[in-house]
Amino acid sequence: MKRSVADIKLTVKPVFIGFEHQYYYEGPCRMAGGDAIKPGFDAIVQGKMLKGFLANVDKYVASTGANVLEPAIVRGTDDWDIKDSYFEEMLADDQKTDLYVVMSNFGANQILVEFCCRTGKPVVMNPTKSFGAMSTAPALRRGADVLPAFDWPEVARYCSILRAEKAVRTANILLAPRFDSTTPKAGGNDSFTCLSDVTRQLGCHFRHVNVHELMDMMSPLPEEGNATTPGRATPNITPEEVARCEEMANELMASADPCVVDKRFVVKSLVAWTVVQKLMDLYDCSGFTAPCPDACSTRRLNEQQFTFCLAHSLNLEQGFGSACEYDVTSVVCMIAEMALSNSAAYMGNTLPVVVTEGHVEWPVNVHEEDVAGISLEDAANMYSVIHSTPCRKLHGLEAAADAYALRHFAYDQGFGAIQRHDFTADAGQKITLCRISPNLDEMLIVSGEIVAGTGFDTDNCNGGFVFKVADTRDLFKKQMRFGLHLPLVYGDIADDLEELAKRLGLEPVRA
Amino acid sequence: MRRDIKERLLADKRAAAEQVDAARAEHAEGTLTAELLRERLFWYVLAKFGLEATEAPDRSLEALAEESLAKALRTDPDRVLEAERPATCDGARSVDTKQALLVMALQREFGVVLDGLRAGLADTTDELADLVFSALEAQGDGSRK
Repeated sequence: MKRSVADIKLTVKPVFIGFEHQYYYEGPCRMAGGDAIKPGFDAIVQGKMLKGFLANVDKYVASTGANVLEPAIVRGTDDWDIKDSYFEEMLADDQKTDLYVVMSNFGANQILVEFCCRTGKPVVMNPTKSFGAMSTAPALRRGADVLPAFDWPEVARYCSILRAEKAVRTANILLAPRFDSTTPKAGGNDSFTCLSDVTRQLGCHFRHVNVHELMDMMSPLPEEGNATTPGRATPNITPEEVARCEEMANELMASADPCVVDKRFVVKSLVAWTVVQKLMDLYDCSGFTAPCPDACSTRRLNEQQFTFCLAHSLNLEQGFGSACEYDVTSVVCMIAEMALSNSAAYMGNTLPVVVTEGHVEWPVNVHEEDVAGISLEDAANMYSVIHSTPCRKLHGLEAAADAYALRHFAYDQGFGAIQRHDFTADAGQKITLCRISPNLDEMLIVSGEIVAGTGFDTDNCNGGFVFKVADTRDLFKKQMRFGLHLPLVYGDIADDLEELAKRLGLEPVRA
Repeated sequence: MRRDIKERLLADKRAAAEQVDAARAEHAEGTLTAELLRERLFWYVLAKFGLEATEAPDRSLEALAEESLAKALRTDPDRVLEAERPATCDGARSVDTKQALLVMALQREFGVVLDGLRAGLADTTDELADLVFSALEAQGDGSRK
């Protein structure tokens, strides 16, 4: 089944490692007297600590939407024994566990270190207690994945970051190439140089469908099969699904303001989306990309009168990574960003506003009437992003749908339904952009703020906004090493992306 | 120690002992019920914590321990510092230590042995009372283990 970021759940196992003195004695490990150093006392006070620990797990971990398993409880003693049964208890759910949250007690340090080393999964320590560094240091230095949480809100933050990591590492991405399945002839040439390396380092996998076979599926299956796959049963659009596209077109057009596209073209774009979704479902995918120029030059998009723009918009607002121009890198970045922000991503050609020799050179597709009010001084640290794939969930996957317009991509024939979003209404909105380098060594992370929208009333591959950055020239120099498209989400997730980048083996580059 | 504090401590000690003695006698007679023990244990805890009934926020052990500490700080801060120092290397909270010491005393005075971790997990005086009742029932004729 297709799998959006909203379907990704982190599975968390709480672990409590207690330590009890079995006899009454005083000495350098006994910090009290009377009943407090008699047998039985340690167990009682640790029951209290366990209760508090589980209450915090509920408050800070379960509340993130994580699936919290039954806790494992181990009771070490001053016999200093380390039993296999301890690890059987703690690791009983290791296969399905994504994160361990551990509370340990002084005295059980060796049990804890061995546990951290035995599991390959990340472990976050109960903050503030347990003299954590005594156990985290030897475990970390032995290769364990230990996350040092300063406080319980940071435990919650780690849950969010690990969930995004899981979204990336478990993603299957549907690719619809025409030529080379790694990069297209034109468009996403700046995408990953080797998809096998992506699987090895990031964990995500790729599922392929030939773009011609995909386009053949956009008509009901002929008796003799599609031209590209004669005699085979393929998941073509069905008459019932076409009828659903007609209904959906009515719904989309009714709420669009303005709506400047003919219904038959909205239906054709929706048919394309439906087939893409069917294939994503068939191959258990979390993302999709298809080549624009490569597919366009077959002339089949002209003949079938559709583009993939609306498919990307509708995929994104459901929490699936979806990028044009066969930009596989952008799909992966979108999945990461959407999982962290719980908002739909947007991607476009990301270009600097060049202020040089006393004048502004606005990037191509930025319409000067939209930015007429921006002074030379303000334009000095700006960038732009333009594409026809905004969607209605930029403010949140679960938020109410944004207002939108529907227009058309093709100037002459009017096909290719596209959404438009009024980014001017979002002036002041903080955004975070990112891109992974083609050879998987770095992640560029950019913080920005929307200034003004552009191209709302235009057709074709237009529509986007200009935004403030810290230093245009610095960002440009860095961007040249990463690529053209910088997928973005609303909100400031830069620090979380930086942490995620490190976990994915990528050196973060901030701008 | 001030005379009024000393007298109050002695009164609390007697009040706690009365509840224990009554419960043990009722157990020996076979008339102790779970509901009755819950009431006795509640008054026992109030006495141990030096609280009047009007000062008890509810039957939550944590709330009662917090109120007891707060009251003691208001009247005798030195005594609190002495008695409430962390008892473990992991720096358990004062309220945790206070409740743990209560359970240690309770086991000794009621003549029962409870599973420590389970007793530590108890939220209310009623839950604690039910553990004590089960332990007394397991003893059968009320003989001390």
